[in-house]
Amino acid sequence: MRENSVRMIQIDQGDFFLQDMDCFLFSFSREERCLKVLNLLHRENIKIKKLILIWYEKYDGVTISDQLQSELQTCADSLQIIKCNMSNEGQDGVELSRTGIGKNDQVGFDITGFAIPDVFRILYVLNRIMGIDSINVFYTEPKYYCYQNGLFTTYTKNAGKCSYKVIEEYNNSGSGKKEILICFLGFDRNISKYVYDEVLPYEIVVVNGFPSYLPKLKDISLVNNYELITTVGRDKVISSRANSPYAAYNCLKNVAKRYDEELMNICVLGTKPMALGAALYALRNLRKVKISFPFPEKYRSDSSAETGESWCYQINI
Amino acid sequence: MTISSYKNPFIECTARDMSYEEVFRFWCSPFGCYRLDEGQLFSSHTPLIIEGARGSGKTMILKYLSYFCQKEVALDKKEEDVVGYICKKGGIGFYYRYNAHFDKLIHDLSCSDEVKKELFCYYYDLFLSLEILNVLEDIQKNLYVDPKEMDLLADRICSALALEDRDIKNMKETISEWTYEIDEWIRNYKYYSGSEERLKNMIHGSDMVRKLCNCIKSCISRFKNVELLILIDEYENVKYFQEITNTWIRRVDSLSACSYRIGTRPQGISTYNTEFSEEIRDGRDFILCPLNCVNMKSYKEFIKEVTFRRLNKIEFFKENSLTDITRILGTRENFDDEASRIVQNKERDIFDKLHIPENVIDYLWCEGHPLMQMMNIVWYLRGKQPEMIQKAQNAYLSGTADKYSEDTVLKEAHKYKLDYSGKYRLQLLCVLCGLYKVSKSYYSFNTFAYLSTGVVNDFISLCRNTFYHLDNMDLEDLLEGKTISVRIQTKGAEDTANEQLNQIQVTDEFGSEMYNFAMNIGYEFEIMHKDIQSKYPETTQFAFENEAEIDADKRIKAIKDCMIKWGVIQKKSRRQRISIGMKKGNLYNLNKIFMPIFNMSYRTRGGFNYVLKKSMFESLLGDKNQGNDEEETDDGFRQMNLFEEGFVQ
Repeated sequence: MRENSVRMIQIDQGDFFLQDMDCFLFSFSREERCLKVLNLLHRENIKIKKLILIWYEKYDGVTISDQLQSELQTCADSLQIIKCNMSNEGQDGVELSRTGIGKNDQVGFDITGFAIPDVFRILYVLNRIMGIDSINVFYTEPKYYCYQNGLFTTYTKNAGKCSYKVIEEYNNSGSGKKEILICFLGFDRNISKYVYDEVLPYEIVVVNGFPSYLPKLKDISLVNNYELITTVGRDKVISSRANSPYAAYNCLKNVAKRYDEELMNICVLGTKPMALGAALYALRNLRKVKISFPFPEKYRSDSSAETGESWCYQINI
Repeated sequence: MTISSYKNPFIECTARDMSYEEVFRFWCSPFGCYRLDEGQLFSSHTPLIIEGARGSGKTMILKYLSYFCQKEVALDKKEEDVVGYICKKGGIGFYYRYNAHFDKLIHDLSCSDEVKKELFCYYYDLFLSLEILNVLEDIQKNLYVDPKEMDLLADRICSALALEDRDIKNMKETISEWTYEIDEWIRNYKYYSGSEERLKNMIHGSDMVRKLCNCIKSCISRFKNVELLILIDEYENVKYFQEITNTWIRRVDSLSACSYRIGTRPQGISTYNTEFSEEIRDGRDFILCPLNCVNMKSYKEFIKEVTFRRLNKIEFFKENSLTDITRILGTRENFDDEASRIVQNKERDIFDKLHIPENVIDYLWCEGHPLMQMMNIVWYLRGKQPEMIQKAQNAYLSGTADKYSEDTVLKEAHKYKLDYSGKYRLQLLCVLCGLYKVSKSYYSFNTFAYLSTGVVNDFISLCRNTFYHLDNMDLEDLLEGKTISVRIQTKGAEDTANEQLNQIQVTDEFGSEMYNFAMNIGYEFEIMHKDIQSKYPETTQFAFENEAEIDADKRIKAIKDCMIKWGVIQKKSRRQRISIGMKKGNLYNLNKIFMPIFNMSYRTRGGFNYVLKKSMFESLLGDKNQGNDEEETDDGFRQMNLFEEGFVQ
């Protein structure tokens, strides 16, 4: 995918034009940035017919106050809240498929407040189950990541034990093909090594987010993934821009050229734009790809602070 | 060869990510190291279960038994009749590694248990059928058997599996397509009604592996008396469906066309139940082959050979004749040197630290021999007379120690000799580390061999993490004949210990409990290692006061089994006295790979062992520091507002 063939608009600076939406899909944790896009759209008087809030119990301590609920109701003609409990991974997709969103509806999907596996699942449902090809995907970058005691090796997004699994909607057993693990690095210490040990692939490609949001983040991700990198060797590390889904998409496309016959197992531990790029690639190449993730028991709902830039990626799957 | 041609020889170290060709290239016969019989592995019709710790080489062995690896062996031996060579060994293996996430995927599906079982069996059939067809395709392509027999086989397979095309390549494509259909069903089943009904129409047969094996046996004359071996690796990953797979093992009888070789971790078989009322039993339905090292000597020989293969493939090491790991790491440690490095000419400080009276110091003082001095101090603190200590020491040094002498001094000198030269040396070093607040060093081939406790992959990890820290100056030192520095080797050992412990912590099977236990019991042992009186030297073993009570508690037993499975603890193969003066029972030790975290000895000492009551065991599984960490409460949580600056209409 050529980056200039798809639109990537920064929506928090200056003018931008977006069509009114039939449906806007969002979720939130305890991070301020989760509601920024909705706020911006409201400020720009972009009309939304239906607002769908997916509320996950797996985010620690997230509640919806009456005040917030009434504020949300002012943003759209109707508000639907889908509550997903801890024990039912995938409930979001099933409930979403029953919301009656039409194939030709204008859909906005703010991925900021969603966990990465949910971003993958929802895009699958929107595209493969509901038949929607064109989606405005929104994302607000964090301004800072939160490190306990200020130490970047203490960063954690996941809470509790992990269970490495394939995301059902992207299941692909590979029919005996050799498996290549493409792991987009995040900051959670030990997770990438855990994933590698679970998969132990025929070959691995490690993708580091570079250029990153902030220059030091690319180094932090290397330090926090030290165990994996020392195990597989530094020559397995390649780079892809952290904030660009298109860069992630193109990166996967290049990897696929090298491994034409193999099954690509993509595991995104990095940023959500990277996950978006991987999802786009996967949806176009379901026969060649599977997506997996180390599902944690819970997610920390405040792993970043304040809001960075907000983007709209206009995608066609 | 220059340093620029250096590459860490120990990266990508597991057999799981090796191709069959690589397995052959790196293969070192383990049959001298483990109590395993190669002939039996190939030709036993009774299924064999190879049980070994994580990284002990099960995968390497199973892959070695596979057709593709044996083909490499035959070609390397310039055998003209490849299949003939394999047949002579007695078995042809079809390798299949069972993925943990595949098991989880099926188990977590929101559908009935019946459908899950059906999916499991069908997937298994498809995957293994594909592997068997891969082997047949290779045999056909290379004309290893009579083409007429292959034609007959193709006909039989078509009819047995309801396939239309006789071409093996096309058969494989059809099987792949069937597999893809099921993959797609899993992707979408939640979103459509009547999915379970639709699945029934998508399943193209059952018992495919058995049917394929029957076809092979009946059509290929050379295979009539050869065992067709289904090699299932990582059996511990078949968590939810072991009753099904156990049933397959139970069904193997004299009429069966195939047998099994199973690779599993200790405690990897979570149930011996089958789908019928009977359980599978060792000695009747299968033969258990634990991967236990014959002895340390053979293990050391084995790992030397394993590392030689890896070093030899990197130009830098090959060209500079640096392929002997003992030469690179040093053969064994030198405790006296290490002790001298710890005290750094501050030998007298220790007397102040321990408040030893001035008039005693001269008797215990031993310049230039900090370990001997430490020995004297331990004896003094245990109540021996300083004068006698000095005399015993002198007699030991002059070589007059005599166990049977009537002279008390010479008798004491004999005790001194036993304590100093064998029994307490490493313990004394640990005490010294504790007193001077420095970390214990872990270096040398001998140390790494002990730390890895018979697990080859752990030894390779130790080497990998050590070699990772080498810079150009270190490589130059190697070229000059020096060994890798103690500092770097210790760093490598610490990295390996932390890496393994961290990995355990994130696993979904009691990860935190296992981590807490290792940290907590490690801490208890560390205290004993630092004990100035060395009452319980080098204690790293423990037992349960009442193991039946532990096993009666389902959760606690599951955690214990999980710790064995993940190699956090290791169970001794035979029952022993659980501690001094106590009954016999199972003994366990904390995996020695973690020792660098706790500055502890890598040796196993008998005598006193830590005996745990159930309540103590439960407390060690918990986080002792719980409550000390900053805990966030909802009190500080502010509900977000959509409109920060007031309501916008």
